[in-house]
Amino acid sequence: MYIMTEISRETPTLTLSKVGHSYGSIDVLDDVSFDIRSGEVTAIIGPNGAGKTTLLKAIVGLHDPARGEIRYNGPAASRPIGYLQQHPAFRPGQTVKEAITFYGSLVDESELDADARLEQVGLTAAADRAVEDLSGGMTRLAGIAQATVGDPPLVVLDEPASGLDPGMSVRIFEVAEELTETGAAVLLSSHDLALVERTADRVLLLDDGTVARDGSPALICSELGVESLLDAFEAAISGEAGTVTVRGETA
Amino acid sequence: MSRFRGFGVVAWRELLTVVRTRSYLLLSAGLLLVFVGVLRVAGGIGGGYVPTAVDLLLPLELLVPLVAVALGYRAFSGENDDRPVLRTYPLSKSALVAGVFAGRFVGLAGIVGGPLVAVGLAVSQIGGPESRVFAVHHGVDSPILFVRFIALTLCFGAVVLAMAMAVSVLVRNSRAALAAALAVLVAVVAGGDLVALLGLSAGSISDDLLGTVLAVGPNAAYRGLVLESVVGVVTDRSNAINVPAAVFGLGGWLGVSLLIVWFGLDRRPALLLQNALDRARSLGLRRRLWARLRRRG
Amino acid sequence: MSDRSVLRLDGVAKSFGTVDVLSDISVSIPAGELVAVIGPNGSGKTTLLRAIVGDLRPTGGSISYTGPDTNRPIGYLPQRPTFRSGFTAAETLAFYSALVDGAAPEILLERVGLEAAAGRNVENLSGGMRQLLGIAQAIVGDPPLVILDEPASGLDPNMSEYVFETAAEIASEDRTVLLSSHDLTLVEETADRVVVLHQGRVAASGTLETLSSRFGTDSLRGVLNAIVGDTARVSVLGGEQ
Repeated sequence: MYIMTEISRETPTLTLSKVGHSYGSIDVLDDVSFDIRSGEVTAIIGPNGAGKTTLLKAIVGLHDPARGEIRYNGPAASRPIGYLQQHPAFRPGQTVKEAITFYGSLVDESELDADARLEQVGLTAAADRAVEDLSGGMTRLAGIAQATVGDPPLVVLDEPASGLDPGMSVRIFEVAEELTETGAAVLLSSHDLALVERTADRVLLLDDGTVARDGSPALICSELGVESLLDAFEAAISGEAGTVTVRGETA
Repeated sequence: MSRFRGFGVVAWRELLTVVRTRSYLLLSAGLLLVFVGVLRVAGGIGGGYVPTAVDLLLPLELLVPLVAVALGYRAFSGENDDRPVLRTYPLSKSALVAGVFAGRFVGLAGIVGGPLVAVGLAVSQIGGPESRVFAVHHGVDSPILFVRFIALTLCFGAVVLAMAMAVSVLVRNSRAALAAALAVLVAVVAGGDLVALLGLSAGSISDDLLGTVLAVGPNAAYRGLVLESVVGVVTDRSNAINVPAAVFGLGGWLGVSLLIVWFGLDRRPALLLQNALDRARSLGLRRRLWARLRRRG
Repeated sequence: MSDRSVLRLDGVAKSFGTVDVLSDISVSIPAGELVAVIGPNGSGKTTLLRAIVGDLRPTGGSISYTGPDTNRPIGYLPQRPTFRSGFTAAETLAFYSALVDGAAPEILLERVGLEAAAGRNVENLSGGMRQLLGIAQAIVGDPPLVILDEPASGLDPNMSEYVFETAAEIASEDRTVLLSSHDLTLVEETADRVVVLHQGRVAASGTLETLSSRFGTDSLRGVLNAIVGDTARVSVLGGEQ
């Protein structure tokens, strides 16, 4: 086996090889292999049901993939991977700041750090509000703040912009970009293709449980001979627009 | 649509939910194992229906509330809660509450009743010769007495289920949901007896009042009714409890609990309390601020 | 356009504790149109829709349904719909349908393009499919007013477009759709009328043309920017110290 002698910028933070997963008889992921590199925003796009959330959950370690291997190669850290789940939820009965401070205390962060994280996602004004009184979009912002606690070398965000207004969505993608400037790797899934096109260094187009395209937004567009990522999305995915492909059933 | 129809539709969905939750089936299997274990140690099964019932009485006083709490504490929360949507259907709150209660009660009857019926069948096979005879006259063991025992057990289950649902509605959206449900369990299992015991030792309850006081706690009422109408028939030893008081007590707990569910469903008592506290706190804060300002001025 | 209205809100206000989330909302929803509520996060969209459905009691003002008298006047897709695990998509719809003598589950699933998933358990549906199932639930019993809270949230571009097309189909001669969304492009393409909420108040409302000309811009994004300004920070009502 080839042994790496030095950890360089080229060493991927995360390596997936031939990852596969099934729910019962339904294959959700099939032979997925790719690397995540530090300092990059990698965006996973693809139709609903393509397996994005399943893949992210496997990376975070919420379930073991049935097949293949996922390996974290990034620097040692008290919290290697930060995670925003698709439907973030906080235990009721605490304020936003208390919630973030709680997660911070797990990695020796102070209340001041919590303030800074809330500031970064624009939630400072809501810091003292009870988490159960947040609107859907604000809950997601608090979830993003939670995902960055402890400065993990890999930040995984499952649909960070879903339910956010256009201004906030832009801001969240900017936050993702800021994270990579400090050397972190960001892996996110999104349906907002315009923002992905603007922000992502690399796009993985997931379709039918496999990686259908992999490359920079410009490369994918030129490969498919289209103008925008939205056109690429429509050209590359197997299902027809407006029909729901149901995996494992003959639709 | 008739009121009755909505009730039936809701009850049916509730029952299906119970049937499709595997842990509930495990609960039923667990009960059967406990029954078998208890009866092997105590040996009542060879003696017939009534000795079997006597052996099972104490474990059931604990296990029935346990099952009821397991079924009741999440009846209106998490993914079981679609009231925001149900509000847009012609379904009255009464039909909803009654339907959820009825569906879950039928589930409870299956979970608890199934193993008990199995035990009853076992008695008919291995019990004494008397156990195979249907007898209704005094002094003779009979399957009818065991059926009566099962029926009383299920009535007890219905009462505790309603209590668990009431508590879960009162404290939902708070961290305390499960803890509060367990508190119900403890209160039901030990509370009534404890109060009676304390009263007795303090001398505030006289001996002839004891039967009535005991009847107020669901557990003691259940135990008393079983002793009275199942065991007492055979042994001619009754008057352990004031029967009308026990029936009234159980009915009262059931009715009050369902009323609490009905009233609590649209309000969030835990939140109301919290809001009131918040308001009090902010008022206090303001008052202190005023005081400070006045001192300065 | 008709002058009949299906819903009238008059000075509606809602506060949680000391926080006023909605203040003085007065708006009339005309029948047969697709009306979109837009606004930044925390502007009160969900609270408003919940108050209309009756899931929240407003602390002031009145909400009156003025549409035709039916079994189920208002259909509702919540922002985060819940479905019971262990039930199939068809069973889930059959339950709701039985409450109003509505259409068969197969017909409802077909209307949202989900017929292939009829036999699949709801916990195995993807986010988009759940959303479609929620929309199917919202149209059970043909309510004259259908309220969809962020129906396209979490959906891929094709599915979002499909959901808006479905919503536009639902909105017809005598059926009204009131939805909230952050996807301004899709709102622009499909909505007949837009209500812009900002800090719990109606900042503007009207057809796209009236809004464009009033704010001197040709896009909804321009309208929103003109009203809201910088939205990179959540403005919290009652949160200013």
